[in-house]
Amino acid sequence: MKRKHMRTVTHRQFTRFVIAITVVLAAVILLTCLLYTMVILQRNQDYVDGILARYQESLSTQMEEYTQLVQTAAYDASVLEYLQADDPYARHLAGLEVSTLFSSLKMVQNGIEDFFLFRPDDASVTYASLGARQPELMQRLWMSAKPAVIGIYPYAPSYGQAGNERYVTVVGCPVYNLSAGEQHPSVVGAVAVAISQQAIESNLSEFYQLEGIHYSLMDRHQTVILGEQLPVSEQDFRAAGEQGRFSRDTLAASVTLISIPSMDAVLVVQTDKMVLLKDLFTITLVVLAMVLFLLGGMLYISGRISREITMPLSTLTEAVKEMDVDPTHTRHVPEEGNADFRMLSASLNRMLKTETRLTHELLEANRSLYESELAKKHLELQFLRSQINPHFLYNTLETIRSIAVVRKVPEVASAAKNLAKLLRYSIKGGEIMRLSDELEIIRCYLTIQELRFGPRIRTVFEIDDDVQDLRIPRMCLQPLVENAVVHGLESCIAPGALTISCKKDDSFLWVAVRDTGVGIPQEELDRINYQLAHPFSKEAGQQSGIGMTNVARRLQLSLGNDFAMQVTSELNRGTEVVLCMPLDRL
Amino acid sequence: MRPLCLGMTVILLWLCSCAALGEEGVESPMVITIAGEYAESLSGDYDDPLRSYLEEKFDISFVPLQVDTADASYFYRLRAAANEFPDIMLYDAQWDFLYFIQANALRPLPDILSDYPNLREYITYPYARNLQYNGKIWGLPRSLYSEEQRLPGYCVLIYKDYLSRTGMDVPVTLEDWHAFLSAIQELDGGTIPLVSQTPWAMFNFSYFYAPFANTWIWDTEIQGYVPGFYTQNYCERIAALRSFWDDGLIDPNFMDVNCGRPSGVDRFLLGQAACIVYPTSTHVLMSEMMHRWSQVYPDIPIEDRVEIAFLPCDDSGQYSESHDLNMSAIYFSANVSDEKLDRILSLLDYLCSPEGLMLRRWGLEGVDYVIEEDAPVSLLEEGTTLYDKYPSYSLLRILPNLDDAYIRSDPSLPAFAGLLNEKCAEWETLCEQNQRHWTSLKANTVLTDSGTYFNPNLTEISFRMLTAPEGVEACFEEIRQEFLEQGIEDLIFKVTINLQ
Repeated sequence: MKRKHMRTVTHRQFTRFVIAITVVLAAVILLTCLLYTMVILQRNQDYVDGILARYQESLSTQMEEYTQLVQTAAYDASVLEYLQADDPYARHLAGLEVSTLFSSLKMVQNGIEDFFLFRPDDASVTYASLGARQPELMQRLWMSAKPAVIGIYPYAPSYGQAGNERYVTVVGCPVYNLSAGEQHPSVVGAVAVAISQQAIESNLSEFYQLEGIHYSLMDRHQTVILGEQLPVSEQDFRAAGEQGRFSRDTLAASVTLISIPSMDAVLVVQTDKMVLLKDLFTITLVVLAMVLFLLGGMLYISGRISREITMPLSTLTEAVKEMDVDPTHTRHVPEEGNADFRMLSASLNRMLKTETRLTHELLEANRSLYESELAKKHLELQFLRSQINPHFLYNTLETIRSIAVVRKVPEVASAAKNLAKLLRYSIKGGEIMRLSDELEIIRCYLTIQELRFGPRIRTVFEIDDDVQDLRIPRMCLQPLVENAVVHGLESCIAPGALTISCKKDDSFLWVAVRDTGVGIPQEELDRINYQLAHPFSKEAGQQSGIGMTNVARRLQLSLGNDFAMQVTSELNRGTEVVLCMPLDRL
Repeated sequence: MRPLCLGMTVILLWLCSCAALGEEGVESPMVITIAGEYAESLSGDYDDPLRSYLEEKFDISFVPLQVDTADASYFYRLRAAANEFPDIMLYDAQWDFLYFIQANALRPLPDILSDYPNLREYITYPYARNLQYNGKIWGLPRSLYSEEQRLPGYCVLIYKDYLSRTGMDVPVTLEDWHAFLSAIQELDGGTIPLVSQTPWAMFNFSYFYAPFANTWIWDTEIQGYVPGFYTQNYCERIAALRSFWDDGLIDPNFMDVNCGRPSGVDRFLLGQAACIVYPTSTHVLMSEMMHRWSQVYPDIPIEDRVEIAFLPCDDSGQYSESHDLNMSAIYFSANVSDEKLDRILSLLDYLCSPEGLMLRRWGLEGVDYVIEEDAPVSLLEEGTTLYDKYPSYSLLRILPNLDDAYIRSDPSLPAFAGLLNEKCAEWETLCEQNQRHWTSLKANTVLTDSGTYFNPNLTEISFRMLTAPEGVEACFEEIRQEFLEQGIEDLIFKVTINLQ
């Protein structure tokens, strides 16, 4: 059995539908992801901007506090006294006050790493903790006229913390001798306070709680003071210093640089977009995976449906169609699909088997019936024939002819002779006769009828020469002629014509009997044509006599369905009976 | 089916709530504030496995408060006044820790310390007595040094360059030192001949390890106990230092501490001073001088440029004995609950246990050392010290102090620290072999009211005498008179009766 195609039309459509839906879903998911990405990045940037703004503000406030603290220290009497004392013991006592002052200030203000008190005659490097950049620090310190942030410098604490370089923000100012009488106050020293990076870093606590965000506080030399080492170009750094703020956005990250003038530093904040969007991408991938899983499931279900429902249905449908086209062709459908379809197919197969069996039985019965009918007809004919002794008829007709000859009545002799011929033709011989013989009998009949009708009926024979020897069922034309005479012309007062034509083409013998009689009413005509098309139907009536229906029956029994018989008529104009018989059956 | 689904939903919700409850049930570590020198080394800013190990082991979290010695008293007094005393106070409270007791800022140790057997070793008689008041012991001594220990507390570090430039040997007597420092002064007028790590170290240069305010010495003349600062010996030793001061051989600013000025260590490290009186404590040497040296001169070993010398002796070769009578101790805030005190004492007990001592001597097993049966300890990494690896080591090493025998025998001791220990041993041998005897100032330390009535601030008195225009002797008499007016005689009488 030829394997049918795997996908039915329905399944293909369903598959396309599923794939289309999946593609649309995936597109929607990706679009949503993209929109969320934009929203998240924008919100994050706004949040970072907010933090930066708050950081700048808090840092400025904080630096201002330290600046005021330095000012407090710078103009404290004990500091001035210490810086100006000549006597060592007096200086020591002032130093105790300064020590108390510094301790108190450390207690009051968080984040103070150390205090420095400079003298004008100090060496350029005075404190080991401040390292090599101390000359720069001191130079800036002496140059500042008021308390200000001097800068961010490396700072090495004194005890125990090995290896960790730290930075401090140094805020300081010179200390002036403001004695009365001094027109130009002189600088007697300088006070500086080192602010620990923890104090500044605490303002950035919001940043290091955020995943994906990195920060770096860089001094003007781009040295990282706080945070991580972030890649920042000199150009960007300079731009931030000049413009106050600079941003650079790449695919992987967005970088914002803001200048912190109060600390002479730049804060760099880098947002890793991939980290920010990691969860979103994960969710998107999960959703896409679920969609694909769903697609797979739907395709699987679709396949199952196809295998168990639509394909068997299609097979079943095809089989039924084929059966419809040729009831004798497909007598079995495959039992496949799910249980219901298998049950259905099995039931159909049983029905087909039953139908086949019943058909055979019916055909057998019809054949038997036909044979019995035929036998019955034969018997009827035989009975009919036997009802009248043919020899008696022959002899009687011969006697009548002889008497007519003797008595010199040629019409009677002719009539008797034709009648005998007609009788002999109808009784004797086989079922198949030559057309020429049938035509001869028709002539005999018409000769007889001429006695009745005289010249009222004019008969024309249009017979092709090449049809004379064709063999047709006996007595199939004569009844037609008789009908034409009896039912068509007899009633006419005016003379009528009767035309009998026999022609053939490549395939068929065409015999037409046409009269110019009274015609047949349409209703009757329709009934006659129906009877001729269905000669064995109940509607054909119980007529068993010699007539068109009888002719049609006998032709069907002889020729099967390969003949055609059609009556056309017009009231008061005439009737034509056309008989078409296949040449290959003659 | 429906009851089954409902049941499964209930079970699922219960499991989720268990997880949430579990999270709520996790307790946070106990926070312990600890103040003192080196406290900042416990800062959480450092990635320190040693600190983390202890915090995890005892479920604690350290909050450090860095307090330098110079302003420690003021710092703690402020905290006490504000009722914000740290849980643990590391303090060399020679003369004023009674103040904290009377200010109800401290709490004593529990009467029974049987739960802390290793700590009991530290509560030896002399030190227990030092920290005893009103029938209670108010702190844990930080040192295991015995009373007979003769380790000198200070030495003198000299830039070798000056020895070679002056062409002089390492000075021995006070006179030698005067000549050497004068030569330096002549050589380079911009260099300070002698500075000191602390003001107190400078006074030790004249071989005076001054007794503290609560150190009472038997005075044979009056046949009674007197405070150390009340003795003529004290005056003489200040006078010995006066000549150096008058000749400008001593850092004129050595007394200026915690007032923003550079320290003696700064000046020495930056080459602005030729010599420095420095403690012989290996811990102080490594955590401060050597650490700072490596920052300033990362490529120059300190032993290549610095020599170690003894403190000067007198003309007869006599040195002063070093009395480890310090009252450095670990004190506890009165706000510490019994539970927290138990946790702290358990920690300290662990640090004094054999396992804790291994931790503080060698570090973390498997990381810093391995030890196999019947084999000596094997260090896993040469060339680094625990100071370098673990910032918290600076504090944990003195919590309480490690024993001196280990310190001297530490195989990972850097070269210069090893040299210093050798010098100390040499000094001991020198004293024994050459019969350089020393004066044993047998003193008792009694926590008396002297901290209240007398706040001598010995460095200030000493400096006053050192710089007095009228001279040391005259100044000393003035000071004695002031003490007399404050009623010191009554106190002397009381203490003498008490100690006899």
